[in-house]
Amino acid sequence: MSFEPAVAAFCCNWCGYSAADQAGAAKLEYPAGVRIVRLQCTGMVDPYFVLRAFERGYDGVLVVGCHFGSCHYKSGNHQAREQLDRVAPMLQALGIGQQRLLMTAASAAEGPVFAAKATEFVELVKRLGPSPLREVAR
Amino acid sequence: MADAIQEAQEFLQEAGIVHDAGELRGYASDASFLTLGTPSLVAFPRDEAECVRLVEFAVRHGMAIVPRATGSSTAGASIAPPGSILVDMERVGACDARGHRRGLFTPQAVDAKGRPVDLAKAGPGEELYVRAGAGRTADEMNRALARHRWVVGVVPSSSYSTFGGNFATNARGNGTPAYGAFGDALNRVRLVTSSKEGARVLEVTDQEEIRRLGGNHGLCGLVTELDVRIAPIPRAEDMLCVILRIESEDPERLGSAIGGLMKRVAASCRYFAGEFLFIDSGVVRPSDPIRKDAVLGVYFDPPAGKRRMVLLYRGTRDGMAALPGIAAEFPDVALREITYPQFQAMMKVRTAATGKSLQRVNVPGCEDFIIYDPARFGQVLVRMFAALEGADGRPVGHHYPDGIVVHYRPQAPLARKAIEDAWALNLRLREAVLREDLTVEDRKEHGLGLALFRDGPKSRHAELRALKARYDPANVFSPHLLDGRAEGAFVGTRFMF
Amino acid sequence: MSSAAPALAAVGDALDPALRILTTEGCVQCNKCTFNCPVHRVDVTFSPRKVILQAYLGGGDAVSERDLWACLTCGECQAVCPTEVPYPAFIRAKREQLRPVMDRAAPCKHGGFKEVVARIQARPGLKPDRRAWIGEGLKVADKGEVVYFTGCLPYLDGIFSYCDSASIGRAAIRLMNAAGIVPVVANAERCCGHDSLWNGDTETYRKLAGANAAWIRKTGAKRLVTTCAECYSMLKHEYPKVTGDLGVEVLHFSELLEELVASGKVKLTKPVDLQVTYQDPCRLGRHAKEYDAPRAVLKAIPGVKFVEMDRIRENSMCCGVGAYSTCDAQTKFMQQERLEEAASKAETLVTACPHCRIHFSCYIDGRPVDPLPALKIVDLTVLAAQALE
Repeated sequence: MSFEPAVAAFCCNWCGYSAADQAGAAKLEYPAGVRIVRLQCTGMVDPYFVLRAFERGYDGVLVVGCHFGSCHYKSGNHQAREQLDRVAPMLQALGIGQQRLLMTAASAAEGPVFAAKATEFVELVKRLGPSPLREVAR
Repeated sequence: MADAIQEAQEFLQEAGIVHDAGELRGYASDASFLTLGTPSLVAFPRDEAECVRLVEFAVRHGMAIVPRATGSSTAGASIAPPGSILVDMERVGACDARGHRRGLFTPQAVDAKGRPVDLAKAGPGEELYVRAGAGRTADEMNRALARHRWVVGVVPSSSYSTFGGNFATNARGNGTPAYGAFGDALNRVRLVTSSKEGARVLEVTDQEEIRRLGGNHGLCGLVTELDVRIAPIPRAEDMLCVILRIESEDPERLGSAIGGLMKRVAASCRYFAGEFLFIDSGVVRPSDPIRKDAVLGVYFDPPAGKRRMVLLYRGTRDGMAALPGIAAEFPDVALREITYPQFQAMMKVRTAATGKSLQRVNVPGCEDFIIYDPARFGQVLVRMFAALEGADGRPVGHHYPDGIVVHYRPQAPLARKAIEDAWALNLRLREAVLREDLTVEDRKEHGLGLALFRDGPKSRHAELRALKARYDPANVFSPHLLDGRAEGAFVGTRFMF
Repeated sequence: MSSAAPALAAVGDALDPALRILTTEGCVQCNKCTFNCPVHRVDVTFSPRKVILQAYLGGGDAVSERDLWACLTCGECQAVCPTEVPYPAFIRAKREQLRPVMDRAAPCKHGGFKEVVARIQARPGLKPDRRAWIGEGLKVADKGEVVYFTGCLPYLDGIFSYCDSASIGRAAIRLMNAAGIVPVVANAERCCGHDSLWNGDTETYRKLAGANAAWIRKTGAKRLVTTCAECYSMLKHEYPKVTGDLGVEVLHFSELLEELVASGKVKLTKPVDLQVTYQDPCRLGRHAKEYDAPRAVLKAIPGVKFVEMDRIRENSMCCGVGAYSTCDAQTKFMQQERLEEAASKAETLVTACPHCRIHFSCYIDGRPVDPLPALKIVDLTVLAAQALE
């Protein structure tokens, strides 16, 4: 039995989540281990969300927002990018690994893009193996 | 009554006066541990204007106000009966523009005429006062004054009591030998009193009137500001602090030595503070670092069978020049010069020794008595130690110009039986020691309101009633203290336990 | 003595008997603690004395959430208490006792990150990379005489990006290298557990302490040095209680630096022309009683004019936040009070704890509640390293 990664996907309401929604409606496949959390904007993503997801045993964290320039709140996704660029070295320092965190974009109409990126990320995480924090997931 | 409190709360909210409501167990008593019930509202006014509004409200609505400070009073005067507004005066005159207590502040010094003085330029000979809010404590003020080398003139053992509180009890303590009681060391008092219609703000500058108001127990109004006498800290070369150790197996001999020494000191020396405590092995905890202090450690382990007293004096070298010579004449007395910080460290021990831990209540009645003729001290000590055989705690006291004041507080766990036993001990002590032929009188400096008022001189009752009639015609300030509702008792007889 | 037993139990059975006695028999209700408490100054209803009285009268669970979590555990109360009631330790014990039943997800006020990071590090199986932050030109080792305990430095900048706390660590390594010391920086290092312990999460604390003690002993080092006042007080004074003797001499970096400068192993020769004042961190000062080494270092830096504040040493005022769990609406006012005092003495405030620096910087970087003269917050180690040729 190969390992099926659990991935927390923080998706913004306007783009990422809508894309995921579209993918679901069109019955496009993406791995079942991807758990979607809807936020108004990726700018809301706090380092705590990322860290807590890993503490709870998720093997990867995906953040899906609008394309740069298209953020519904103008610059939320830029903020998210800056935040996550700072969080990534923390994950490396802690021994979780910064590759387990990825930020990407998929607009509301890009259901297939969402499905493809989610699948790609899960493959990457699969290759990395289970998170070192996985054993004690709560 | 709940409505009245509700109304008061709404008023405080609207007036923007900080307050706290709910089960205010911490305010149910003061250091007397007497209680009239748990209050449900306490107000924290920050300046005179808020006090005026509070008093106006109280007069209009016929509600009582009970002023309170740190609650270190053992007279029971700062506890509130149900339905009254407890007013914590801690913030008055102690806050910045935002209403926060300023930890770091510049004391405002004035001369005897009330004119501002720059402390940095003042000379040690000047008669100076510090204009302070009633909510300030000597502790805080001393910290602020230290950089200019001044201290508050009269500081009771509870240096944590507020100036308003010190005035309400006319406290005596460190500095009394030079400056008298707290009411003697003030130049000006501002208070918010009542009239039949509302509030009045009064400024009292007449010395005699200030003295009369000293010991008012909050009956006359909310004291908001005082001009408090300050004293210079002599330069190290001029300042003398000494510690004397006096010990003997025989209490009579011990007392005679102490009394004889004090009589000579009172006659030939001038000093700011003369404070003593009896030291036993339990006066500080075994782990207390002072036991290891190179200079002070030796005072803390008295040899078995001997009683030891430690006596501390602080003054100028000039004023106390005769002291070492006097001490040398008494074989049981060992004198040592110490530094001011060492003096303060010993005073800290003395403060703790007089303190009341939560588990115990100080049961007064014989809280303090004064021995007018020091030559009798030996006889007093014999009787005292005999009566105290087997009891907890230790006497402490002051050497004042008018006599030796001794405080003994029997410590009792908070249970009815234990308090009754301690009360009985007190009565035995009173019987043994309070005798005219020994020149001992009941000073009642502290004492439960019960003892202070009920057993106090009738002339004082009359004085307080007269003051109240003049200052508080609306009778809003602690009316319960004088209305005789508790059968001649001052505050009642119910303890918190 | 039938009345004594119930009264003791009332303060909380979870409390160590010695602590119960110290609190109930020690407290004389004198109010000195409250008058010196920085939180009380800005919130008059917060009172350590009242908390002890109410806990005693009302039973163990009578400590309100506000009273429990607004306390900075700075220790000003204990420093002025005539009977030295250990109030911070009392609060710590109450937090441990009451935390499980309180309606509170995470004490860490900064979004909970600090707590999660500590808990993560308490888990086995991680392979941290605790050297990536060090950068080029600095030498560290796997084994050696001196261990450099880095604490949060590898990841603190992830959150407090405007503080560059990692520069503190680089300065320390640079100074050590200059003295011929190649310190051990271990990937096995874990969070020291300060916040876990002080916020009542003893389980996490014990795991972290155990893990750290294990690798420290394996290094065979003789000395351990840290640039953080919290790590220092933990490793020196708290760890021995749960892990036994660590087998190393624990030093705050200022102590090591004082020694290196005095012995000539490090030469501070480049003038640093600044007028500075110094903040005694609560954990280095009142908690660990180290007041002198940082001052000696400041005096050894050429060109530095050192002016003391009025409230220093055991009277030093806290930076306003304790264990990252107390920051609230009142914190800013405390910070304003302290920084006004600092700014009245110098344009540079030197700290010896990265957290003091973060908390003060956060305040200045944010929106001060009142006008504040320009003030720079600089770490002692970074300042000293500037004087290296």
